[in-house]
Amino acid sequence: MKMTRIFRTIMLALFLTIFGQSMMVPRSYGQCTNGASQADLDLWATHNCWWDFVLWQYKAYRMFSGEWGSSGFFDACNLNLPFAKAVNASYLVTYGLSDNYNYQWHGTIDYRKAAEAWSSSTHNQITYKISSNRNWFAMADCSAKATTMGCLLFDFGQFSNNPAARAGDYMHESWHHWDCKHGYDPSHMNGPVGACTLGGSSCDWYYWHGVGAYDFGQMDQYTSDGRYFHSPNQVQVEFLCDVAECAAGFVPASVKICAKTEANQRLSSRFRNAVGYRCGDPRPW
Amino acid sequence: MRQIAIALVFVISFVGVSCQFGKKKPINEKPPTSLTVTKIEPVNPVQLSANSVDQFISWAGRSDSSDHLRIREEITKSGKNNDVLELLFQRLDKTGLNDLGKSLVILSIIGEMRNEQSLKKLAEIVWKPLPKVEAPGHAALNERDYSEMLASKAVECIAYLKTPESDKVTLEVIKKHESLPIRAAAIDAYLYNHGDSERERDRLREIVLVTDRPFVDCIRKSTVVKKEAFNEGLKRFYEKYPDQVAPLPEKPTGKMLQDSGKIDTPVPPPIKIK
Repeated sequence: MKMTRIFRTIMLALFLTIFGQSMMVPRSYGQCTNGASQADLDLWATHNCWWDFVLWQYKAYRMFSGEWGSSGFFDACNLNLPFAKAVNASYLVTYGLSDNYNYQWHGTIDYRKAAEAWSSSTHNQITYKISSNRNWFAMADCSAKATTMGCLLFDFGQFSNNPAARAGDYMHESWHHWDCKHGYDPSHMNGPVGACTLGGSSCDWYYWHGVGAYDFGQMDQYTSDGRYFHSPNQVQVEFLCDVAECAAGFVPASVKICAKTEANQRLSSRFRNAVGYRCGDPRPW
Repeated sequence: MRQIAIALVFVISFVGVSCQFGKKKPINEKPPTSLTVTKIEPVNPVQLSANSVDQFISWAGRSDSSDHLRIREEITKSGKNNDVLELLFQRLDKTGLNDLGKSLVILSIIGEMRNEQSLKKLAEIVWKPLPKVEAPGHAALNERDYSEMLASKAVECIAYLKTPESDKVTLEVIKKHESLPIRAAAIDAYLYNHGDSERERDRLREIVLVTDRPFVDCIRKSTVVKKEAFNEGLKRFYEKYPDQVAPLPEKPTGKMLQDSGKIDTPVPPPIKIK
């Protein structure tokens, strides 16, 4: 008799919990098209929604329930939804590089400082938001102290629905925040111009430097003569090329191929000046 | 009544815990350091055959660096298998631009097969009409970018065939293709497959568009080029093309955005799992 009562109590509690949660959490997960790409699935399989990391990530990137609640925040291990995809990209930033001093442009510490939301010598504290906009990848708004990620980074069927592109965009937007923190104009140049083949506000200069010119941890340092300086597309490309060529051993081939292809595409289409290198060997596999 | 009360207490405490997850503060909270990783499925190696094309694509895509050479060997073993080649092209057609990452993996396998039968279809990908140049939104890649990325990979596969016919196609791309990213990929792949010889470099200088000449002198950033050699090559490039050195950054506006709060020391992530 007593057991039955306990059982009924537990059942009632479970019912109320599930029903209550379903009332609180929106059933429609934002407006982005759900679904994971092969590269997302491949990277996800290396950590399988490592919960300790999820609990660290949302604080480090300041992705809060108010903004991400309808984009999978309450279903954080569902890779079909944007929040889990953002976690996957953060995982790549945090662990995806081998930190090979002889080959990498910059170290994990640099890319983490750029991508994470905390206030640092790279940028002021920001918050990551999400929007259903499909006109841009993401948008850094210095005055709002926010980076808003658009659906193109999450839509199933879009190339940019992969962890390398998303992580690369963390870098790109973070460098607009760097501009603002250091008093530089955060806007791009209008193209097409020089070797930049695109129209609209898409082009940057590439301020060349050698491997090892910046010690790891010094990427945000600069000199006003441009000898040490970065533009948003440049930081993005350097990160992508580091993932392509210097990834940690566990990073799946599909992620590295996406990173390399996007790095070379940007190298030959986003810079007003010709860039003196290409990323990786052109051997097919 | 008592049952309902107990149930409600249970629900309230559960919801309370859930809300902690969405709480905005504190950001200085120490990260967890315990290692609670769920079981990670191993990737099973597969031989490349007509019966295992899909499994091989999955394995190749998910493979880590330790499997890189093994996959290359498996592909080489099936290089002359036209049935496999046909099936791979079918998978490529089906995937297309919907999952470009997967398409790039498939193209990489096709290219590494070094099967001359692939030339015609690869050339079709390269010469497929591109969408118009448009102004993409901030930081975005557009449909043209996607097509160019696929075509760039395809021209790398063509150059890797390294036959007189494939060289002819590659050189045509270098001379006549409308897209700079595809021409740049073709220049790099042609030189790579001809040992980066000065003779071939000189040959390309004569046929490329004047504006493409810097791309003939690009150096490759890869782990087979040592840091010193890479840096030297990059320096040489900008000495040869001083007009490609970026000008001084525009002067700061003087308006430096200040942080409203104190500067937090980034909290380290949990322990690395690998």
